[in-house]
Formats: sequence, structure tokens, C-alpha cells
Amino acid sequence: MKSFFSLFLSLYVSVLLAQDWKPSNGVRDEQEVVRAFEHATIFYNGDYLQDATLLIKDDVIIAVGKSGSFSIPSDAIRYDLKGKFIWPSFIELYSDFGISKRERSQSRTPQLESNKKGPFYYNETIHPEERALDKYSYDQKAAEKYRKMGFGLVSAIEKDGVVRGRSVLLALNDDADLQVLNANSAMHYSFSKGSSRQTYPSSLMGMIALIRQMHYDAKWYAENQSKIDYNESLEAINEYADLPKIIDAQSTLSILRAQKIAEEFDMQFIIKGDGNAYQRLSEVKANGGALLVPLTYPKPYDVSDPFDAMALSLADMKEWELADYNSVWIENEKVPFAFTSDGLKSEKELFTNVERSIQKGLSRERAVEHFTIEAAKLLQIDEISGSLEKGKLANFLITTDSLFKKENQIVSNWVRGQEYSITNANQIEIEGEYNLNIDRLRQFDMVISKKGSKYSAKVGVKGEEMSKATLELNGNRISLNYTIDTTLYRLSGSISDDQSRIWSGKTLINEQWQDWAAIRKARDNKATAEKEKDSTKSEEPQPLPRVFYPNMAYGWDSIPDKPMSIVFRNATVWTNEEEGIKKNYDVVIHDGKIKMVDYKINLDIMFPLIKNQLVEIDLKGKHLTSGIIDEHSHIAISRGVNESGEAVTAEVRIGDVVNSDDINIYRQLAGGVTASQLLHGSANPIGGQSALIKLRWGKSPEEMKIADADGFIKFALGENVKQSNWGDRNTVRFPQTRMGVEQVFYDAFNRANGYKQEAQIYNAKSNRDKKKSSGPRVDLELEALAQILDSQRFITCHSYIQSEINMLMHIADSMDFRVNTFTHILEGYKVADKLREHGAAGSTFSDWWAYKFEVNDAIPYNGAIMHEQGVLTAFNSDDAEMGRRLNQEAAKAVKYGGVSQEEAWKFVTLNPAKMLHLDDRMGSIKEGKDADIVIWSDNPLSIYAKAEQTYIDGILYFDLERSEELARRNLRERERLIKLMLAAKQAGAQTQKVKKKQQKLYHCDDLEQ
Amino acid sequence: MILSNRNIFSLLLCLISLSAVAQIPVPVDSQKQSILLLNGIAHIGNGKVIDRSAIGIRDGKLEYVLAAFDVRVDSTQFDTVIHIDKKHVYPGFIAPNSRLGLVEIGAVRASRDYDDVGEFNPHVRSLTAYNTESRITPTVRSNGVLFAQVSPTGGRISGSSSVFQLDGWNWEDAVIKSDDGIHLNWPRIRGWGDWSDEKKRKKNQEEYEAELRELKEFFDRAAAYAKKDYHLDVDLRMKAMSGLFLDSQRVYLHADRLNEITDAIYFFDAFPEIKVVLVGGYESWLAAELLKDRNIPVILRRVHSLPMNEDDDIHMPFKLPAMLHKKGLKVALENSGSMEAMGTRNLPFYAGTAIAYGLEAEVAISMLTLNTAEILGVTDRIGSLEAGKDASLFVSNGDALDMMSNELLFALVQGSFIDLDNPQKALYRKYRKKYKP
Repeated sequence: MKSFFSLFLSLYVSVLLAQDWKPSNGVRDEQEVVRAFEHATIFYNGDYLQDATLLIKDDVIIAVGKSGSFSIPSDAIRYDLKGKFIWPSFIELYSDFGISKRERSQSRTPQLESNKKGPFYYNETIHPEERALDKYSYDQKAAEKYRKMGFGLVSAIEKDGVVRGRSVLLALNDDADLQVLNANSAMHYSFSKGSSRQTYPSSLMGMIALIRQMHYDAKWYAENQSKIDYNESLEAINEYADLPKIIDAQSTLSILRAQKIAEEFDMQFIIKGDGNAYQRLSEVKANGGALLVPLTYPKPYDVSDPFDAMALSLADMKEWELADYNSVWIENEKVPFAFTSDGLKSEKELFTNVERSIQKGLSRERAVEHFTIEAAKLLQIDEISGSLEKGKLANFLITTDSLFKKENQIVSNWVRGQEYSITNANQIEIEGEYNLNIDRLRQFDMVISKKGSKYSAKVGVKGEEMSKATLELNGNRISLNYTIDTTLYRLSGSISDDQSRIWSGKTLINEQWQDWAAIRKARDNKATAEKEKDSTKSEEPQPLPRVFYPNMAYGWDSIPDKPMSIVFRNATVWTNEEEGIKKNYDVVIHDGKIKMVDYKINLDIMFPLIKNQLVEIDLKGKHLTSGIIDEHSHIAISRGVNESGEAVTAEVRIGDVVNSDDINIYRQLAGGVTASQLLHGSANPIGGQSALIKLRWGKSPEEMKIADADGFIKFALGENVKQSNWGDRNTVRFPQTRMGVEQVFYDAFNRANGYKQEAQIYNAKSNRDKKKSSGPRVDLELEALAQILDSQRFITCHSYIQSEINMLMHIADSMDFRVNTFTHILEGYKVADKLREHGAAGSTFSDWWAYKFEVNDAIPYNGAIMHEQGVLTAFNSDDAEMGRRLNQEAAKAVKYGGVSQEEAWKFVTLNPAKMLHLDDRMGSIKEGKDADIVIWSDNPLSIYAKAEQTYIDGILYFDLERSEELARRNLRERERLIKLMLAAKQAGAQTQKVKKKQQKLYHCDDLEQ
Repeated sequence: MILSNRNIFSLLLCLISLSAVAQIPVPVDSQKQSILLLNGIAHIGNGKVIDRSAIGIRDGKLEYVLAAFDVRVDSTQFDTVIHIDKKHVYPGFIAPNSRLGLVEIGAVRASRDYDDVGEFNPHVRSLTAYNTESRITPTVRSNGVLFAQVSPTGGRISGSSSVFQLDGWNWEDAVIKSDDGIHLNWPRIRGWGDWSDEKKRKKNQEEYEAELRELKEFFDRAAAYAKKDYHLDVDLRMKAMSGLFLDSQRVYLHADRLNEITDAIYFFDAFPEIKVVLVGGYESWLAAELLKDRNIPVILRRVHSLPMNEDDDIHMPFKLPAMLHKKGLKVALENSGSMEAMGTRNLPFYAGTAIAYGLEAEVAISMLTLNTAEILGVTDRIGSLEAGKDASLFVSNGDALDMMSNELLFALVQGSFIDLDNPQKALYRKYRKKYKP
């Protein structure tokens, strides 16, 4: 608060002192100019002061109030603004106004280290030390554009990098002395790497990890400043810690991600999403912080060609329809926000789009405030701007009507007491019919019509056909040329009254100067009245469109959250327990748990209390199993499954980038999958941390995660990590051989050991000693590795060849931990005895092989042999398509190697549950376990089996019949939206061409970019 | 399975002895014995099934396929009689549009022989590059796939495919039909990702049209070239195209999207002499009337694949075989895509999934056998269990379309037992020995 106050003070003082300390050429201009804007409607405190006056002195407001409530100094310049409006001008929090962009290096060899030499942060995309002021030069053209949109102040930053540095707060005043208000307006962040060619971070999760690490480093740096080398970047982070922090998150789910970072470091972000925050509004609200709401509403798609329309996703259509509601709903939830013009292609869009939201329920006054006082508050400049109050900067707009209305025109935009005229108010009303006479003798009819902002004129002898005239309008100066009966008339003059009714001037005819005048006929009010009627007609109240969860095909109308209470009767139950496969068995679920599994359960005796709630479902002929668990999945991940920038990236977390809007979640539910381990890819020896999720379709990423699950991490060996198939340029990152891979592990674990010891030494200190010295530096990478050494985090290692599998087990043995799971492990059959001895599990493919050199010896009998040798064995997908047929893959264990059906089924249920340490609550049909249940039409191992119902925690997330109905609902919803878009197109809306939503499918070795 | 007769010993040897060392199985010898398969469930391939069948094999050909109680069945006429009560007999499955034998290890460039330089490569042919020694092939036929149309990929015209039986010392004796057709990848209407950019879209549209003009020019030239028997200067490309106009070759038109499919159909209206086969055909159900009208069959894109659009029916690829069949189209199933060559062994299971999603079982089998043979033009020799055709078939312990019961007891190619061993089984045996000495 203190810093804030001093900031305000310094600003305010500088405002007043600006003219004084500068030598002037010639006689000093000492006049303090006072201006009085009288009889206007002034927007004040969320309301309107009628017949009010605004008094300013130089660039500061000195009084606001009802006209007559205070006296106007005699030397004031007075403006009569009867019928006009005055508003505080807008504040833009996020722009790159006047900022020159840096050039991007063209080198294509991987660059592993920062090219920015000096005492800076080790990663090039982190540059908090940079100031936008240093890259700034006033851009008059751009300033005009912003002023046309109503802005008086803009905060500008180079949109480059993950931590971008400090923006500069500028007044859009052409006078260089009156531009820069604050060189440190806000600290900017983003989730895009920008021009840095450094390989790290290559993924969204890498950027998140990097931001977190930087903040930990800054904290540690602050505590140890005297002991360590100077670092300009960390200095800047600490010095400017109190600045507002603005982050360009780019998507709705990334708003949640930014909020999570903020929470960790006890700070708040002002977050710019993509205009769809309504899709996860309750989470956005609960997490706290403020939003920057973009006005880039999508144009309607051109769906006149049904083939084009086919490629358009329901998600995109719904986003088009719901864009208008975004700010309405955010406002209803009272989440603080400011509007931003960032990304708008034309100035007009700003007004039309805000007006659209106003039509959908946003109050006009609040809309204005989200450009003004709310923006000022977020930027902590509400003491000097954001409203028309005494002592604030004289930044305001004079308009003809209420802001955002179609008819409204901004007459002028005053920036720091200086007028910038936007539209000549006199010009607006010349449309109409006129009597034109020259020298009072020649009488003509003239019609002025308007198209867009352009006027055109027609002139003719009274009662005869009119011909086209050339009309030019400059300010209130008019020139008009037309030819009638071969005579050329050239008129020049001006509009002489403020209603623009009377024009007069001179014309040269037959070498004689003569007078001319045009007087507008009385307006026919009928036409305009009808017009208005029309526009009200189209605004018939439509039913409020609905958000789906997720907001796409197969999304829910409302998120289900009540577990069902069911007694399943007469099913063939694959218990995965000692009882084995039981025919005619009953299962009771209640409160999200399995309550009982038995033959002919008597509800009166066993469940007298809940008996009435239990719905009976007869499953005669059907099979009931626990849900499939995919030990190795890459669905539901945003922007990169691999952080491939470095060989060791234990700090990155898939949990940061879970994408709850992936259609593959629903597709896999339809294949009986209830839980998945979302693994980092295999681009580096030590990859990132996994996310364990249940496929709770419709819920947010955080809600999908399995509570209290153990932590897992991906390791990888072989061709992928040594970049064998990455192309010829990728030969510089260590390691490039299996020999090197081993050393990467030793090095990493040695470092982790050192890190652990440092922590131990510190923790052993007495409290008093602890206070004297700061704790060790938090290193997110070593933190994760140390957890492995402490058996607090568990490895799933991508592997193929027996030698490397053996190698990793030796490393683990030497460091006294266990490799939890080898995944792929297609040569596991060659070392099954060693795996068993070490206690590692094997999660393999049923029958993949021959796609890489290292999988040449893969055999489909791998699972059978490992299982036979006592290795805990599973089949996984690693593939969005196979993930929905894992029951078929399990059947291949029967085909190749003769595993019993009961055991084969465990390959995709109980065994992966064990690998993920979830078998205490999942993986079998047993009293007390989660009600994650699949109903199959047939033996689940049969090719003819279909998952008919999938329950998670007792909630029916997939139902085959309902899914068919949902498919029809999708079509109905598409139809409805297509009609709306066609109507919009016919009504003259600009359209955009259909774009196909790209499906992002990841495998282990997929790299982002 | 009961074997009876004098040759029983040699047959057993044939089935069992190979297990010892074999990695790549030895092709069958040409010595042909007469065989009678009795009481198996015969899936003819044409939609019919005979529950207790008698299948007579002589000189490598099917002499008859009858109900076992038919008067014409006389077991004394055969060297070998095999009782296969309740076992399933199928004509060898055919994998069309396959890279089998053209690639060994996907990631190893040296082993990739399916895509050559250039856009218009009708003269490039799979025939002579087909590797009979591939380690993959034996793993495929172990599951009942005994034939493949081996096809080049890439470019506008990828090249010419040939149909092989998956057994032979070299390509010459493995081939069933050489150069059966050329593969045309219909130009893509591109830029789905970036159609918001009007300029780019226009450019894409222009590019597409230019590609169509280029294609038209190429086919016009080919049609003209084919009209003359003798050319002083041989043009290899045009010569390779000639078969299309002489009814000896087909054009395999690869396209998935509706607009591309319809554009292609109208394109070939100008060349009525060309036999067209649609390959891919994800949206062909929307063009069914046109396809039917032109008699264009469909080799349908892999059943075990994801829907192409986010909004599509989640089970669309599973349902397509039944949908197209109901619309009266002739359909065969194929397997191109990721893990293509090695995944060919899963071809039977695609048909199984199609059954689960509405297709009649015997029709599903036709989509792996007779339909495919008809589409490829090889019905004279393969595709069904009908008298006069090659005795190339297999016997499975159970339903071959379900992985749990797909268990080959034996398979014949041209009347000879083939070795069903493969390198993977050999490794299996080797390492079982490690653990059970």
C-alpha cells in the first residue's frame, strides 16, 4: 500500500511539475488554462449527472457537479455541451502500442542455453528486467486508433516471452512531454515462449514450471542477496513484486492454470483468456484474481455450404453464440475485470461488441466502468484516473449519445487536457432533403444520403430527374459539383448552423461569383420511427443459450454430481477377487462406493435404511466389471505431452495441463475406461510428473484428478531419448547413445542426493539457527528427483531393450529405490526374472512391434511370459484410438500365450490399479471400493462386447442409449446454430470461413511445435 | 481334429516339425496331395455358410464345397481326410491397400520401400520390391490373412499395386495378379486449419483447382497414349497408365471427404472405360447414391480408427461397414495407417467390430474375402470357398473374427499346408526355455 501511495504521489507531482523544470525557447507560457464544459450529461459514480459541468485546469480535473453548483472562474474557456455526454476515457491494460518488436534468430540448430550473455536469468524467455519504455517510440497513427476507440491511457509491453518485463503507462497525448506516466506500470507474463530459440521450454507445462522456478529463485535470491552473484532478472522480480501482474493465458483452462500459480506464490494475476471464461466460471471465481476480458467475438461462420459446415465443430459454433454473454456472466458472478481491445481488427468492433453484450444483459454503466474505473483499479491508478473526479487527470470523452450505442459518435477525446477531435459533431446530421438555390434564382432539389460514414449527393431541377453530384466535406467546409443541362455548377461554402440545416457559400457561374444556399426540409420522422420499430422487433427475448459441460459435442447440459444408488441383479460379475467370475451375482452401489457383492442380496435385511433409494437394474445376460484403467495415456493434455527442451525435466507436471475438453475422454468412457495415468512423453531420459485422473467428463481438470493419489513420473530410455528419429539437426543434446543415458540418470540422482543433504542439514538446525540463515533454494527438478530417492514418487519408465531395462534397475538398486513400472517394455520377456526380482511391474502393448529398430524383437507373447514369471503385468494404450478398445487388447493375452480370461482381464483393470497404487479403491468389484463400474453387453474380452454403461464414483458418465440421444441432440443444436448463423449472414453480418477444429492426438514421442 | 489316412504321418510332421528352428517359414513345396476337409463350418465368403461341410481339394484347387451329407462326397477319393468337426473354415483373408513387404521397420529409412520421389509415379510398382522374406508377413498369416494387395503410397499417383499370396520363395511365385491397378491420392481440399484467412483459403482453392487440371491433363494424355498400340518412344508413365483404358487395371482412388469423393466421381465420368475403386471413403455414406450409380465399390478405411471430426458419432468408424452395406455398396476392409504392416494381422478383428456394430456376420466375412477379391479382380483364384478356385484357406479352432478364438489349426495355400510359425513364436519358445529349462 505504501508503495502504491508513493507511486500515485510521484505521478501526480510529475503531472504538475512537468512544465516547470524544462527550459523553454522564447517567452515562457505561464498561463494556467481553465476550461469549463457546461450543461452536459456527465457519467459520474456509475450514474449520470444531468446538466452538469466539468471544470479542468491544464491536465487536471478541478471540479465536477451540477451546473451552477460551483462558480466558474472568469478566465475559463467555456464550452456549451447541451445534449452531449461526458465520460471518463478508457484505459487499456494490455497493448503493444509504440513498441518495436525484436527479431527472431533464424538458426535451426537446437540452442540449449541462453544466448543472452550477462547477469540474467538462465532462460531467454524470462526477462523481467526489460522495460517497455526502452523499446518505446510514440506511434501517432496507432494513438489515433486508440483514441478513436475511446482510450486515453494505455499500458504497453512487448508481447514476447514468458516473463516479459514491465509495461509503460502512457497517455495518448501527442506531446512527448505528456506521454509517459509510469515506466513500471505492470509486470507481464504469458504462456507463450515468443522469440526465444532456447529449446526449453517447448511445452505449456514447461512454461508453467519455469515461472514457478523463477519465483522460487527470486525468493531465495532475496534472502541471500549478499552471498550470491548479482542477477538483474531476479532483482527486477523482487523490486517490482508489488506491481500488478498481467498474464496472457490464451485459453479458459489456462486462466485456471495461472490462478494456480498465483495461489502458490500468494499473489494475484490479472488474466487474459480467450473470451470463453464462462465455460469454467465457477472455478474462475472460486480461484480469485481478476480478468482481462477480450472483445474479439468470433464472427458467425459462413455455413451456407453444408460441406463446409460439416467440418465446423459444435464447440466453435457455441463459442460464437455465447461470446456475447461472457462479460455478462462474469459481471453477474462479480469477478473483477477490465475489458481489453487487444486483438481487435477494427475500432468499430469494440463498440458493436460491447453493445452486443449490453443487449444480452450487461448494464451500460458497468460496461463503461470496466473500461475505466475497474481498469484503473486493476492497474492501481484509480487515484489519478478512471473516473471524472476532482484531482484526477483530465482524460475524458465527449459524445453525442450514450456510449456503445450505434448512433453514438465520439466527438472528442481529451487526453490530459488536450482535445483530440474524433468526429465533427456538425457533420453527422447532413443526411436529408434540401432546397438548393443559387442567387435565389435557380432552384434545385438536393438529396444527401449516407452509407457507412460516407455521404453522397444527388441534385436535380425541381420536379425532374436527379443526377449524381460530387460532395466533399472537410470539417464544416463543403464543396459540391454537379452538371445539369451541360452547365457545370461548382459550389463552395460552409455549413453555417449547428444543426447543419443551413449551408451557404459562393459559386462561380459564367465568370460571375454568386451566392448559393441550401436549407434542409423538415425531416420526415416516420421513416426513422419505423426503423427503430424494426430494430426493437428483432430483439425479441430469445431463450438463454446454454453452456454445455464441456462446451462441445456430447457435453452435459448440467454437470452430474449425485452418485446413484443401484442394485445390479443377475449379472456375470468379474470380481477380480478370489471369487473370480460369478454368474447371477448382485452388486449394490451407494454413495459412490460398492456396498455389497453377493448372490441374491436381500435388501430388506442388508439395506433396510437405503432400500427405498436403491434402483433395481436387471443385468441378465450382461457382464459387470470394474472400470478399465489405462496405465499409459496421453489424451486430455493441452499444448504438449513432452517437455523436450532438456534431457531432465522432472519439474514439469502433466497435472498443470490437463485438458478437460478433449472428446477422447468421452470416447474412452464409451470403451469402459474409468481412470488413466496421463503420462509425460518419452522425449527425454527424465520426463515430467504424471496426472492420475478419472474420466469425469464435464468436470474441471482439478476435479478430474484422483484425490490423494501417489505421485508418478515418466522416465524414458532408448531411441526417443537419444533423439534417433528426430532428424539430422538434433544431434547436439546429450545423450545421443544408451551409454549417455545411463550417465544422465547418475548425474541427476547425484544432484538430487546433494539437494536432499542440504535440506537435511538445514532441517537439523535449531529454530534459532534457521532464522539466521535462509533455507536452501527450492529446485523443482531436484525436489521431484529427491522424492524418487525417498520412495515418495514413483517411476514409470518407457523402455524397450533388455540391456537398458537392466541398467535402470541397477541404478535404482544402487540408490536404494525401486523402479515402479516399466512401460512398453517389449523385451520384458527377456528379463522377466530380473523384473520380478527387482519388483518392477510391466505395462506393455498387446501386439505392437517393428515400428522402430528397438522394437524388432517385440512379441505379443510378452505379456503372457511376464505374467507367468510373476511380474505384475498390464496392457496399456499410449494411443487415443486403442484407449477405447483396451478390452479387446486384453483379449490378445488370451490369444497370444494362453493367459486365462480372468487374469487377462486384470491386465487392464486390477493390475494397472496396483501399479498406480490405487488398488485399495479401484480395480475390482469389492465392497468398499469406488463404484467405477462397466456394464458390458457380452463377455468383455469378446470382440462383440460393447460397453453399455460406465459409472465413475456411482455416477453414470456414459450410457450407450443416452449417447445416441446426445448425438441427436448435437445435431439439433448444430441445426439451431446454423440457422442463427445463416440469419446473421443474411442480416449483413460479416462472416468468417469455417475452420476445422484440429484434433490433437499425442503419442509418447510427439513433440510440440 | 481327427486325421485319418495313410498320409497322416507326413501331415503331422508338416504341422509340428517346423517349430524347432524356423524363423522365416519355408514356403510350401509344389507337391500337391488331395485332401478332404470334413464337417467343418465353412464360411464360403459369399455370405453363405455350410455348418457341416465337405471340402474336396485336388491339384491345389477346390474340387467341391458341399454339405457333408451330399451324395457326391466320397472320402476314398482323397489322399488325406481331415475331420474338422465344429472348426471354422474360411477362404484366406485378403488385406487390400497394404504396405506389407515394402517396409520392415517404420523408423528405419533403409527398410522403407513404399514411397518414391515424384508426384506422378504410375510406373513405380510394388511387384518387384515386395519382400517375401519380411519378418512381418509370417505373423500376419498366422492370423488368417493369406493375401495382400501390396500398394505403394505417397504423391498424387503412388504407383501400381500387385496382389500376392503371403507365401512364396520370391515375388514371381507369390504374385496372384501383377500390376492390378494404380493408386491415386485425390487432391485434398486443404486449409481446414486456416480458413479464417480469406486469402489463404482462396489460394488453397486455386491450388486445388490447379491440381485437378493437372490431373485431368495427365489422364487425357494417358487416354490418348493408350489408343495407339505402338510407340516409337516409350513413355514409361503413360505406358503404366495404359492398362486403365484396356480394362486390365483399376484405379484405386484414395479419398475420404465428401467433396473430394464427389469431385472424383464426376472426374471419372469423363473416362467411362476406367474401373474405379474408392479407398478410404470416410464420408462415402453421404455419396452412396452416386457410388452405387457408377458401380464404384469401397475399400473402407480402417475400422479401428477415431472419428475424423470432433462432433462425429463416437462409434462412426465402427458403424461404417454396416451403414455402407445397407446402402447397397460393395465394401472391403483395409488396414492402412499407423503400424500398418504389422497391424495387418488385426484385419480379421475389424470385421468382428463391424459385426458388433450392426453388420451381419457372413457379410463381414465377405468384406475380408469375396468382396475384396471382386474389387481387386482376382475372383478367378481366390476370395471364396467355391469349386475351381485355389485351395487357399485356413481352419480356425473358433470364430476367427474374435481374438479370443482366432486360433489357426492349419492353413493351405494352393492346396499345400503352409507353415504357421513365425519369428515371434520362435522368440516365445526360446525364452520359455530360459524360464523352463
